[in-house]
Amino acid sequence: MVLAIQSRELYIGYEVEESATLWVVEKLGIEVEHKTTFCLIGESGCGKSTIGNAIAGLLPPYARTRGQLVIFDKIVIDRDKRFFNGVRGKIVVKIPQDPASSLNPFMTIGKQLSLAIKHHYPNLSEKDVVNKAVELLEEVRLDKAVFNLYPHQLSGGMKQRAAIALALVPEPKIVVADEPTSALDAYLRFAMSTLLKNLQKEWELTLIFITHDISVARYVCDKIAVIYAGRVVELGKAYEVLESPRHPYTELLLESVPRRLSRKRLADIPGMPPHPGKYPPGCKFHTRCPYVFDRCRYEEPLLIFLNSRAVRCWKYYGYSA
Amino acid sequence: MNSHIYAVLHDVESMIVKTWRKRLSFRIACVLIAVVIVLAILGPHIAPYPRQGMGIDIDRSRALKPPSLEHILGTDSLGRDVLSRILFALNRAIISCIVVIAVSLILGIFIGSYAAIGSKIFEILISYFTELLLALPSVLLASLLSILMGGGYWSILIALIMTWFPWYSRIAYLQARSLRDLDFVKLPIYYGLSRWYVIQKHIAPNIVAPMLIEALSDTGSVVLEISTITFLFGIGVKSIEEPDLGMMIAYSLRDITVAPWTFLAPSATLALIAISFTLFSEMIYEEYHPVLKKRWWLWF
Ligand SMILES: Nc1ncnc2c1ncn2[C@@H]1O[C@H](COP(=O)(O)OP(=O)(O)OP(=O)(O)O)[C@@H](O)[C@H]1O
Ligand code: SF4
Ligand SMILES: [Mg+2]
Repeated sequence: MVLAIQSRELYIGYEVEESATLWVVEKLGIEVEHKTTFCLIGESGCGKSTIGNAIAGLLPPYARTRGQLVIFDKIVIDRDKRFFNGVRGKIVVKIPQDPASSLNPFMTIGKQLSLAIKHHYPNLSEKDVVNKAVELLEEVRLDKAVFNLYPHQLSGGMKQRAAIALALVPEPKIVVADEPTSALDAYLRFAMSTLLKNLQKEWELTLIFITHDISVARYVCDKIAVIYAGRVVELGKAYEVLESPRHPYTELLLESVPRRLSRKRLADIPGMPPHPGKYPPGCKFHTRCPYVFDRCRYEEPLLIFLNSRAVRCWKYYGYSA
Repeated sequence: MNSHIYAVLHDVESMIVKTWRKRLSFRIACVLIAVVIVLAILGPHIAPYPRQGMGIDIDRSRALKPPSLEHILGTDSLGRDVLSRILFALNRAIISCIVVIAVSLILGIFIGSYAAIGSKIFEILISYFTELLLALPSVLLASLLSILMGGGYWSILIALIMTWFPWYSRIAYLQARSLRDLDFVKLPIYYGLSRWYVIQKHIAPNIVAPMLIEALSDTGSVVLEISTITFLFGIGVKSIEEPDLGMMIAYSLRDITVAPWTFLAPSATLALIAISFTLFSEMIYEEYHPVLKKRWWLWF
């Protein structure tokens, strides 16, 4: 078992004003095995992209960090220092949320691929570069003809595939896919998930899959981490978490998703997710939790390990250790 | 590289063609601009009296002749054919204007984009410097600069470039700012590629099309500024022999009562250039940026 990513009490925040930092992600402790798919799931604004960017080394310069992040035995975040040389863009790459913004509208897809290939393999001949580019296009199931097209001549799904091809140029080991399916319609969403799943198997990648679409997560992922207000509230094997959720937030999240052959009314979670900087004291979910009791309001629960999974909820304290 | 140029030209062309279809005055402006440019290029070759046009051949005995078949626009106080003078002056005006615009455009694009993606300090410095230059009246500033640089023909061009490139660097800066948060600009910088590389490959091709249109629209203003400077101060013109629109107008003022044609012909030419380019830019602005500031306000 090789650990691809390991974070120890990682805090991530953004400096909003002089010396005032908005902590978005707190106490993040995750371990991701190499060659598995790990999913981050949660509501909008809970800090999923922030975690993804931290792993991919793409935090802006005004971001602040604490704790540690380790990628393949290399410490990349150590307190407020970040060391991504030789890792970022080579070992970890990110597939962006919005493919349109990752492609230069004034260059053909082939040209952009070739530029990236030349950057990573300066010794290849012109012909090999083109061959490799076409190979990559085939790898993401795109037609050869796309080589000579401009981004605006592609559909959303094709752009997303081109962006994936671009990300695969350095032959990375870890791919962070930030909502790769959110810009697509329901049918393409599964085609894209299948593509990523297959690529993960063929290329033996560690895939960090960020989404708020539970059905996609169920389909793609091995392990899942449910994020609420910047912290992991439930962590475990995907099917376990999604079949028998333990944390009240996960329960509610799953009830809000339509299921086949179910006539139960869809529930929505009352209230709004808290904004960073305005996280309530105690359990961050207590303002919306149906099971809330006194202790939740004052004291923040720890991540409690139950067999193969972990839950951050007082309900399970002393439950089955 | 060729595909970049093609894509940019395609953008510029589509902007012009769309406006052309909609606006009659735009068509007139385009035709006038084409005429001016053709005359400017061919001017020295088709001028009826090239030696008089260059100002070498002076004969006071034919001074201040009214328009006739021999001298279509008459002659000036030194007996030179006004038409030939104008054709030579036009050539010179358009060439200097193209030099000024092209250099300021390139400088503007690179400095503006670098300000947008470079270090914070550079960004702040460039913004303030640009604002400062824009706040000063450009004709006066350019005259001052060219006097400081010795007052030659080149000093006018350099002074004008100094006062014009801030416009372009500001536009480039604003456009590059909106690009810098996009992944295809942001990621290469994070990955450690040089900023110049990113500007060349990813920023300049994306912002150059609107800026070319901008530059085309400014051509009239630049011609006018050069003429204003030579008219007011005579800077940049070594002797009265040299053909220059501003100079010609300045000297013809003395004979305006006896020989109004010597004044009217160059003034009308200058007005024609200014009006046609202004019309061109106004129409494009109305089609594409209805809220952009009208540049001709700055003439006053
Ligand atoms: N560059 C930034 N500067 C300052 N604050 C930021 C920045 N990026 C994100 N944030 C803040 O961090 C919080 C989490 O943002 P993030 O993008 O990680 O959310 P997310 O979970 O990815 O949401 P979504 O599902 O909508 O993509 C947000 O409340 C946002 O205000
Ligand atoms: S700790 Fe309390 S408030 Fe928080 S999720 Fe558990 S029961 Fe709900
Ligand atoms: Mg996000």
